[in-house]
Amino acid sequence: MASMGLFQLAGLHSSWLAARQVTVASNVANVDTPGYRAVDVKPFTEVMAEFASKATQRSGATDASNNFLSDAERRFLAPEWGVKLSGNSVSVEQELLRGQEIRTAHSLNMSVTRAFHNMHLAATRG
Amino acid sequence: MAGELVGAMRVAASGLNVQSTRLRVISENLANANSTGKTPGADPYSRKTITFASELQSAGGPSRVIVDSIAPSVDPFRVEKIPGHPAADADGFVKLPNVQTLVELADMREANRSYEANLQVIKQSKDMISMTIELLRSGR
Repeated sequence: MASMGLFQLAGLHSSWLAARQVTVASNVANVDTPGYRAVDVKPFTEVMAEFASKATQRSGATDASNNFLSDAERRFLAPEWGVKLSGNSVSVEQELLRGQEIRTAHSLNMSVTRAFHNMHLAATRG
Repeated sequence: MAGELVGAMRVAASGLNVQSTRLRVISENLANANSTGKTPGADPYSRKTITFASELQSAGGPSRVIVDSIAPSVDPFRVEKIPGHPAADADGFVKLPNVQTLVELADMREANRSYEANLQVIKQSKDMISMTIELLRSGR
């Protein structure tokens, strides 16, 4: 079923969002740690490109167990909101904005999943 | 996915923990803002400062925050002339704690704000978990 890819994609997106929420939590928790640099995960466009290339290769199941938090996948946030004297580049305001953004995206993701699930149910029930 | 979100809540909880420890240190400082020594020329209470460090739970995992150290400040003590005070030296000078109430209050506000931010993260993660669980309801 072609639309199964959509559920997989939704799962991938929600695990990416969850990983992103972990970075927000780390950044907020370390808001007063000297020398801590704010982190983020790689953008979803990159994840999406990998997903697409894997899907076309048909190299078995696409792994939703992607570890977005590993060192290779982690990115440092550009300290556009300023760096404190202690070398800490976390901005609480920015992190809360990111948190809200993640929450909204997650809500959208879940709604889309539910809509497709309902379509499946409608199709099977006839 | 939900596991990661619980991990996010754990990290935020470590933030709550250090901020409340910080508040404890601040209240110690404020409570002892006038605690002098007992014997002539003795050192009074010294202001304590708290430092944080980030701790990696596992390689590539999220970084929690821990209390690095709670150490006395090296700021010089205030000196006032109070003859007859038990802690006054031969010239009548008493060493008073190096606690500045205003600085402590500002610190308290900051700890408060950071605590709130961590709570917000916990709330958001919790919302996301319940939204995912909500999915099960639509199947009826």
